[in-house]
Amino acid sequence: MIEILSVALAGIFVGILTGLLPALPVFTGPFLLYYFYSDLPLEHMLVFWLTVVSGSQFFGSVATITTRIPGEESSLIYLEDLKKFTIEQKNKLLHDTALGSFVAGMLALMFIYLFVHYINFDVLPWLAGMKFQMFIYSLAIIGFFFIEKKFFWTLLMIVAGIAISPNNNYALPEVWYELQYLTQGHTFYMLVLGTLLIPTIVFSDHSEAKVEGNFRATRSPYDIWLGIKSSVIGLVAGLIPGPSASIAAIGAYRSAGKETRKKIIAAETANNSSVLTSALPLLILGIPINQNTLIMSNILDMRGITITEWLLEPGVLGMSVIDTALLVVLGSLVLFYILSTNLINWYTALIVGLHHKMKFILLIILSGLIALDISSNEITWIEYISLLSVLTAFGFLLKKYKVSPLPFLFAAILGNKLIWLYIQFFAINS
Amino acid sequence: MKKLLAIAALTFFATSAMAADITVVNPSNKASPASVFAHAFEKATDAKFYQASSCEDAGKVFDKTENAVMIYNSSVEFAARNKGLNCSLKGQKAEQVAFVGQTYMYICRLPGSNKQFGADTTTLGMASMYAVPKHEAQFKNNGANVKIVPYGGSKGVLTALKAGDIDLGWMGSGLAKKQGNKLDCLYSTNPADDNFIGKTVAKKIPDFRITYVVYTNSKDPAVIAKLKDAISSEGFQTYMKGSLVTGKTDVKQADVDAVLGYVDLMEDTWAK
Repeated sequence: MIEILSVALAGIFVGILTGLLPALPVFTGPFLLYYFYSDLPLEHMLVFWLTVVSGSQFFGSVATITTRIPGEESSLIYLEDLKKFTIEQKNKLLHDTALGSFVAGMLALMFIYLFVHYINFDVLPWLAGMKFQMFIYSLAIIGFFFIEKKFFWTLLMIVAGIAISPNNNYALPEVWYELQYLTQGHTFYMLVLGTLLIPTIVFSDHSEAKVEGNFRATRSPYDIWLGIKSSVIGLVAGLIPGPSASIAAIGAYRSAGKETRKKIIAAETANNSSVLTSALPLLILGIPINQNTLIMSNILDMRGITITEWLLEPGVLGMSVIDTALLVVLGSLVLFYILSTNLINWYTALIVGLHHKMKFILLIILSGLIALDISSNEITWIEYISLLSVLTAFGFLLKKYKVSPLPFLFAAILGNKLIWLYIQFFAINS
Repeated sequence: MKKLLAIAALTFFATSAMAADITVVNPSNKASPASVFAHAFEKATDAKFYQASSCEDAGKVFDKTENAVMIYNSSVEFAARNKGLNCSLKGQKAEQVAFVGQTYMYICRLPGSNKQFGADTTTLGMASMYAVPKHEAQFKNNGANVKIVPYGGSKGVLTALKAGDIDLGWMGSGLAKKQGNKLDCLYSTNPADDNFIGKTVAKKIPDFRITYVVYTNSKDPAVIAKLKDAISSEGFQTYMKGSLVTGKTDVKQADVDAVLGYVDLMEDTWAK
């Protein structure tokens, strides 16, 4: 009991930091689990993961509204709107976005509970069937052609990701592994680091942040229907492969009418439910659909955990693993609501203070994580740095041409499964 | 520049400080019963774990890591030979071997299914290294009209069976046993079982098994003793019992040679 509450508190702390600091991505939680996973039971990992992603959305809005430094990508949609707001209006916004996040989080947890218990692999085994999975996986990868709208780059990213993805697949020709020899020893973290994190940090804008006035979350009449409608948009958007929080925020923002205040509240409500429901395909089908779930899927693979088999097993509190996790995350949501409507001035001071030293802080964090990666993957410094240099050069190239590395990362993880599915489909139907 | 040097020093010391006693190296697919064995052994020894991307990758890491422990299994060597890779147990001395054991396979269908080996075409899911044309041909030559479908390992086979993608699944006996009445297991490859497949289909290797060999690159008797103690520990013995793995820690050179002889037989029978 104490252990799981400690994990929840750690998740709350990391979630707050992830939300407040723009350079820490929403998948910081799974990243930390990636390195400290070995002793944690499944329900602890779920609690930490879901708590961190919820916290990132709660506190992302605090950072954006008070400093106009977007704490997470999904806040970008209303950044310009904030210029029109007075301090009093922002204070009301702080309260209403926190309440919206709480409502959305609650509804998302209920949604996950119902799905896991009533629409799962045991009830509908075809959900894990080859044809359904081929459809979902293919859709997740093909979807990038529509999201990115840069056909040849996207194709190149997907082909490169698929090329390095298979391992221990003896149904593939030997030549595939001869090509893979060039990238032998790569780790998933190395891929993310080289193609996404290092280029993002180097090119990020660290101009001085300013905060004018004192902030205090102030209650105002809350539009419950707006909250429910935006939450539902988020619930559905969470199931769409890709950057679900941004899709949810944009969808809710555009469907909230003409009043700017309501549009911002809608966006900040929807992104909360989406980050939670985006976990659902992984929980009930074992299918990752975004960066968060990709990393979690990789961790579970390394642990040899088939998540669909373990969710309904008894957990530490006498309930099933998933019920235990959802209950503890529910408690975290209450704490997030209280914390995100209080101590606002302290948070803004922290954001501005750390913002000035952001590159140095991030370099320390990255160095520590690289050390852990090298240590846990039995790769030499020279091999690691060589591979990372190539990947980073690739990442800079992508950044220069404004190409997202996400199709590459998705294909690198999903490719192995996709290749298996197509081989099996061919074997059965040939 | 000072900051960068400080970071480099921090990274170096963090890495140096994390050197562990034993590293378990797993060359098998994550979904195979051998990986479950490897994880159970990792837990019993409180070791670090390295999941190799291929058996050659595993060999490289094993050679350069101090106190590394290889969780060898015969299926990986068979598959490697098929691909012309060198992942052989050949040359391994018994003194550095902590355990030799094996687990057999079950061939199962869903309860209520009437699928069976016979004239009608049935799909049979199995690990990709054995899903080779010669294996399929031998089933057919013995009256079992099967179409073999490759999977990463037993877990994939089980999921496909439950989803209705395949008619029959060839999977690790431990995993099949854990499913209880959710599976109807028609045959076993264990000659001691009543439903031994050799009694029905006259295959050349009816007593198919995955053979495990746990060996280390350390010559330190304390390390080898620690590995043998881990095998005898209560937790690992519970795993072995539940997963239907049997074996011994008092390993002679003949035991190691017998494993190689078994792989030779598989190569002669099924290799491309």
